Amino acid sequence: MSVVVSGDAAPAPIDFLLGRPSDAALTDQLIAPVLEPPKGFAPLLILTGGGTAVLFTVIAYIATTGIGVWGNNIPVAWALGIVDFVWWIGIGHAGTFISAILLLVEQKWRTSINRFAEGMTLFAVVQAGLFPLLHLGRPWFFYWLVPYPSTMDLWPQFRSALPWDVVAVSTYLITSFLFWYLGLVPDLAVIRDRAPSLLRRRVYGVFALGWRGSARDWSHYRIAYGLLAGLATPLVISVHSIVSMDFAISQLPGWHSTIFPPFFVAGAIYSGFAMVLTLLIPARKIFHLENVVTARHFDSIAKMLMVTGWIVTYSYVIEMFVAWYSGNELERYVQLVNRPTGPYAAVFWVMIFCNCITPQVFWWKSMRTNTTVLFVAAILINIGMWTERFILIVTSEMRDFLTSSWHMYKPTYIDLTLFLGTISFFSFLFLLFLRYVPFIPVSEMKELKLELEHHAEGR
Amino acid sequence: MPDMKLGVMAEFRSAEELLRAVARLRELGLRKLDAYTPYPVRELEPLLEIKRSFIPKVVLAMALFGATSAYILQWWCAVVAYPLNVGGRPYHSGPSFIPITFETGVLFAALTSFVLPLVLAGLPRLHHPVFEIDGFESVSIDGYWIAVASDDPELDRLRTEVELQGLGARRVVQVEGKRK
Amino acid sequence: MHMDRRAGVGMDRWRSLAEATGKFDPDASREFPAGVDQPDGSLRRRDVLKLLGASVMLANAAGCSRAPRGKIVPYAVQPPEVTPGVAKHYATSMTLGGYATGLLVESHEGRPTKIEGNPDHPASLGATGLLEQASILSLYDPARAQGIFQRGQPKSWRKLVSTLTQGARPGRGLEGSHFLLEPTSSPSVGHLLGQLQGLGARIHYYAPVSQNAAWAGTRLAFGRALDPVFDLRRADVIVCLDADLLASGPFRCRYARQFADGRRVRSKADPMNRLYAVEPVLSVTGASADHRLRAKARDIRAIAAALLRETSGNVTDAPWLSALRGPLSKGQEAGEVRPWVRAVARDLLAHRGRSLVAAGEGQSDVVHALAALLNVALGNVGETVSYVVPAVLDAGSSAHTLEPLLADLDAHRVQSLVILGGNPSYTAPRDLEFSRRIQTAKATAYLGMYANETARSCEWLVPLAHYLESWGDARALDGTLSIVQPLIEPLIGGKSPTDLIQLFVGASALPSYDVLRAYWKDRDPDLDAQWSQAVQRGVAAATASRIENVAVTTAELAKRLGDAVSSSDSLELVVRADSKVYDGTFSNNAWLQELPDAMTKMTWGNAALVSPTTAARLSLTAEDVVRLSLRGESLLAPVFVMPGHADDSIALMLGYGREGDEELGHVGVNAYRLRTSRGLAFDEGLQLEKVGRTEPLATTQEHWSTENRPVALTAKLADYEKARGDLVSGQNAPRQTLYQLTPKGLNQWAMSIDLNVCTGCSVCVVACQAENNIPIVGEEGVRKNREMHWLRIDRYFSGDERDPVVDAEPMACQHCEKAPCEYVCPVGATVHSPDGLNEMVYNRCVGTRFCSNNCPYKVRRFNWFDYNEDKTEPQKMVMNPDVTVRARGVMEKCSYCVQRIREAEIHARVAGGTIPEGGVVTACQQACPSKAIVFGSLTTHAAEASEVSKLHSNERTYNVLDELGTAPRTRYMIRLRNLNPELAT
Repeated sequence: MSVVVSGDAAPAPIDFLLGRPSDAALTDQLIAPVLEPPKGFAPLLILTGGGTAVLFTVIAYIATTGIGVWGNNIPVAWALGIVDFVWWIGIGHAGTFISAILLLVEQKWRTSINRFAEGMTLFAVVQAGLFPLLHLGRPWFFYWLVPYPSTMDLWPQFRSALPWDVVAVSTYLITSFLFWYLGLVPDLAVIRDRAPSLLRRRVYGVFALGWRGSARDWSHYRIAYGLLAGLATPLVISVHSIVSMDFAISQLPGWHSTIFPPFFVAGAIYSGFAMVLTLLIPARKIFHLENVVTARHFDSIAKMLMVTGWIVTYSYVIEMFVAWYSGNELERYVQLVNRPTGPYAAVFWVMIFCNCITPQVFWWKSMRTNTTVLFVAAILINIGMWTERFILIVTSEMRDFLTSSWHMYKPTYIDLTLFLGTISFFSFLFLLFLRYVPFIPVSEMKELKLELEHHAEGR
Repeated sequence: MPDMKLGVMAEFRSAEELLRAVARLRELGLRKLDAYTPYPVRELEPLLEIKRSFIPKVVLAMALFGATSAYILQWWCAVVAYPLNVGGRPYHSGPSFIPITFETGVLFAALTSFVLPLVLAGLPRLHHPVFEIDGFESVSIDGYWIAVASDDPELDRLRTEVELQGLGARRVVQVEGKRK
Repeated sequence: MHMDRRAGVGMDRWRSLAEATGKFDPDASREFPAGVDQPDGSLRRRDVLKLLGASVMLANAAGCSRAPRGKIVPYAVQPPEVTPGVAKHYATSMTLGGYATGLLVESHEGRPTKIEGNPDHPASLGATGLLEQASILSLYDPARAQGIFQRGQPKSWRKLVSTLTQGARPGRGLEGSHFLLEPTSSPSVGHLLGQLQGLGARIHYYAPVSQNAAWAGTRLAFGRALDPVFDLRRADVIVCLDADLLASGPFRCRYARQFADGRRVRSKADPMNRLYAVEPVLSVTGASADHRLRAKARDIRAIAAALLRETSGNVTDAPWLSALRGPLSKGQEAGEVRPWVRAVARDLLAHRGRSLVAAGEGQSDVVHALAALLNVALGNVGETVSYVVPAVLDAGSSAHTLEPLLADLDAHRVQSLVILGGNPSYTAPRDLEFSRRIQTAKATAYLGMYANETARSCEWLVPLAHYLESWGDARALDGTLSIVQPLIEPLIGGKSPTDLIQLFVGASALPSYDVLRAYWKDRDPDLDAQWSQAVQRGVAAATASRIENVAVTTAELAKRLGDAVSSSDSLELVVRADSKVYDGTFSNNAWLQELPDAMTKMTWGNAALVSPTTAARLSLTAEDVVRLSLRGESLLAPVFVMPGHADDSIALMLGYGREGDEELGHVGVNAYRLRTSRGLAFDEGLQLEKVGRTEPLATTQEHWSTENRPVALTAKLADYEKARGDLVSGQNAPRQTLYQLTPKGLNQWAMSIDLNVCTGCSVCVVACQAENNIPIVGEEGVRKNREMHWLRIDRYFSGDERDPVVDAEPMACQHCEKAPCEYVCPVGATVHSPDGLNEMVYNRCVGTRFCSNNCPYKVRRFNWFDYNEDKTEPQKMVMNPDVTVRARGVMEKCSYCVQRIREAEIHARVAGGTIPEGGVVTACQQACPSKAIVFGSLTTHAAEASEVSKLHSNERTYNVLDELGTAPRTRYMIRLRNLNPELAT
């Protein structure tokens, strides 16, 4: 991975930040959204807030009536609930990838977008976390998956991938949050020191924990931040690997596959970057950040999309090849017959188009820097990655070993409302984030500026 | 020394000026120095004799502790506390215990590397004498501050102030030694 | 989707029970006399049942908004004979079409909860049919008639008595009083009817599905109405002319067992019978046949005639043959069936005296006569076939048709019409306009279980007592007498036919028990002497009918054979009693409604069955709605394309599209609307047109083929005999595994299912449902594939879709030793027990459903909703107290009837021994008529190896999906097909 990325560190990094603003000017520009939000913000909040309200109503309905209100059945015991879960958790991966891995391989261009991506991660993982919970037949007993001394002296069954999931996802959520907050502390201090009203100073002062920025604090801080990045990196890989094991450890044809961990990780980063674009492009416009989020950023992200897109495509091919090569009738049926020609063939081909064809436009630099193209492509990839999970999960279950239990799956309105609900909940949280937190790291940008100046002076 | 007694403080406009100032004060034999900057300025660390942080060692230890205890917990549950025949799998199914072991290790490490830097910086501490200094709020924006401890044997407040002025300090502040 | 949508019935129901036990029926206490269930003949049981009745009421008083009136006795003092928690079994029997099947009924603290077969009874041999199994649910049906009504107004029994008897007062004679019953074999009822006739009343019998054709057939052949009784054990070649011997008819359980005994091949030396079936509609028997010929119902007569012609040619010339040679010689059968007929005929001739030919209820008297003559010609009579005088009263007489009654009605000669059971307004042939014509009767009364179609066309409705609520007697097909013993007081004051008839006889109304007892006292002193024993065993010793000698008479038959059969090429409509709701009697039985039909796998309704060829010709696809028109009446019905169905023949099952209070019965379409007295079983000239919309059907199996996966294996008998060692190699060899942990308990439970004798009749499914409190999910639930059956019957077709080979395979939890479901459960809710059970711990389950995803057999069921939440009080009474009722959101599956295993263990421990061979019988095993299921421990405590361990090492045994290495504890025995070399292709 790092090889691939450092490959595009070659061009002069000067264009990660356009112009030569003074520290103060740069600071003011970056915290402006927090101090005076742009217009049209309130309606957006209300809209997404409404969607969130709907989400929680549906959740209440499901919890009181039973998950029979979904379209799930036997054999398709897992369906949209898990599809959405994997989709969201996947999206959650680009954030950490950008801020951690790219930090380690010293990709300067990450700086201006890393907190943005981390925020996305955080809120995506929150959405993802909803599903495994709701998906239980008896959600009120979710804590039985956690080891605690119970009166019945019972413990979780650690051979199952689901307890792994619980630990992995919660670790990921916590670590991402800590990473995000630690990075945030100096910038909260900025607002503490810069905000016009006393109230704001007080509030942000509290969250800044009293950060002073002494050289000694900075030295520990730098190391610790680096460490968190270092920790988050294997986490990104491991979490989605473990999520993939929810399927890989089973023996269901179409799930029972060793390629899953890398395949899932690549897919996750793929969808994550797509989502970053989906959010970044409008945000850049709204907040006039053309000078800090530049064509170079888009160029690099587009290249990442191509790389991960190809890995995903490769995985599809390998899956099918292995199915054929194994000679296993069941594998062959799922991979070579049911998916491309079965009742959900249409979805399969949408997936192929979105995930394999779309990124090919990025062979052209003009496309890589054209925000419209990028935005459309990002949306398509988001859709593509959702359909991938659908195909992966549903088509494997609906036609497994005994033909007698083959059965079609149809989602219900509840299924769909739930999904759309999480999308607005996500947007709601993200808008709040944009509104109240400096989403472009102020101190890091100033540090970058310093480095760029040195670079300019040829030091 | 996060809570050194502040003697003289001065604000500079840029990292370069600050660095020059620190170097100069050291020539004058001042040793109890500290600096406050909007972002980490690595070149300061040798000048201020800041040793490389020990945080990584602690984090590693915590990571190992977390991982070990996670594995032991799983083993204990499956083998000692309530052994059950689960699909004929051995009670001690080592490979299945790895993912949780790893994740828990990471979790412990992450918590440590979040808590330590803050604790070492004496945080959370919402109020600190340094905030009393007029104009210190610039420290997070574009102010590069240098501080001399009031108990530095070599400290000659007047001379130091003059020096700092000479180095182009935007402002120099004499902090009353008796406070704090 | 739940069984009771009606509110508020509870109240009335329990009030009337209070009346029944208290002031209302003073004779209640006398209904339960000394020692009916125990040799020592103390008075205990009667008290017990009295208390029980009361306790039931008390238990349910809670559910009522008002405390029950009348005297109630709390279940405070424990009766000495009842140990709470220990079930007792009582013998009784259920009649269908008049013929009895002996049963043992399990009772928990006076609550009948489960029906088993009575091993001593000839019709049962320990097994039960679908309808017997499910009948227990009807007992607690909240939709039952809630009291006595006159034109919908609640009335008292006294009012009823005064009104009904004023027209015909005792002694004054009963001219103008007519009684319409279902065919009955009850001697005591017969006695009462005799008295009625003596007083001038007229008796009629009607049932939509009857033996009339069979009786008429024997009359044609032998000059009198007789019932054929077969002995399949002694038959090597069996030919069924549209006869579903194995799954319908009075002796279905017995025949299924005998048939199975004839093909229980354990080694290459064992003999195996051969079954031929000719039929329009794929039946359980047809599916089990080695050779099956599809034919329109109409053409079967010609085929039967051809069979007789082909065989009789070689038979030593009997005088009666010459008379038939003429008509037989001009064969009317289609050319393409000739080779088949010839081959079968040769096979029959090769097995003279060891073959049998049976004709089905749906065939004409001529076919039955031909079948009878075939048996005579082949010398089977006295060997595999014997004839007895029908146990049903007035069999073969005109009393068994409606026409005389209707004639009297039209002539206004009917003072009062009393309908005792049945539901003629719904089931009578449409053209007879029964409901309209009975309006001319001055008074009409109906004794029925429900306020149904007939109740609506009658003035009076009297609730009919369930057979578990009242005393009676009945005969089996072979005449064996059994006593119908109640297990509980009438829940809603139901009355038996005896109670009603007595009003007219004039004798002081006695409880049905006294009537019964009195009758047998003068009729048969010996029986009276061993009364308690007879009641206990459920069978009266040595009461089977004498076997009749038959002499062939051909005059009439020759004439009938002469007249040509209509040979129009129009579509044919075939109507049959449904395998589940029968003629509609069981329409409101949710277990049966949700049971997938053995062949179509359809639940909650019926559809027009069409062969693939005909469907293609008429461009029909499944679920298309079509308008069926016949003789001026038309009906909208969805289409179901059925492999193996006869071309140009449309089949509709009876018993659906009800309009009475039985709400569950409203599903499906009412086939009676197309059924006229001209064609009771099948009719020509059906018009069919698409109406251009579709209607979703609720089927449990969408895919027909096994896709050549090693699932339901079959082999030709010849190949098997040639084969060396195991038919499926390598499955009995020990295999390498990383998963060393194996259960070490004293017993190692396992099951063996012999596909060679399994007919797919699905009785086991209902038995499992009854035993394990398995909920109903309703039509919508089934459409979503959420049915809860722990045990299902997979039905696969192979070969030519038009003429497929049909394989049925019972599929339940395989209790894999290396269970894939177990290691994926995050909370250890499904784990392995020391005695080799794959246990499901409901209390621990959080409902991730990972186990179901990882189960290759897909036998795990999930509670998507709380399926038990709106069960009403009576419905709760059917629950088996030994089995947990599962909560919403948990998985469930076959437990090998663990409650029975643990019970046996406790008994063994108390007795200080080990569980003997056959000490544990699972519900499915117990109900299985063909004994295809064997259950037991692989470890043995006796000298010789246990049955199941022998079968597990049998050369026919294999594992489903063996290559997954799940090491299932349920293993299957490959089905063999005994093909006739002449027909083998």
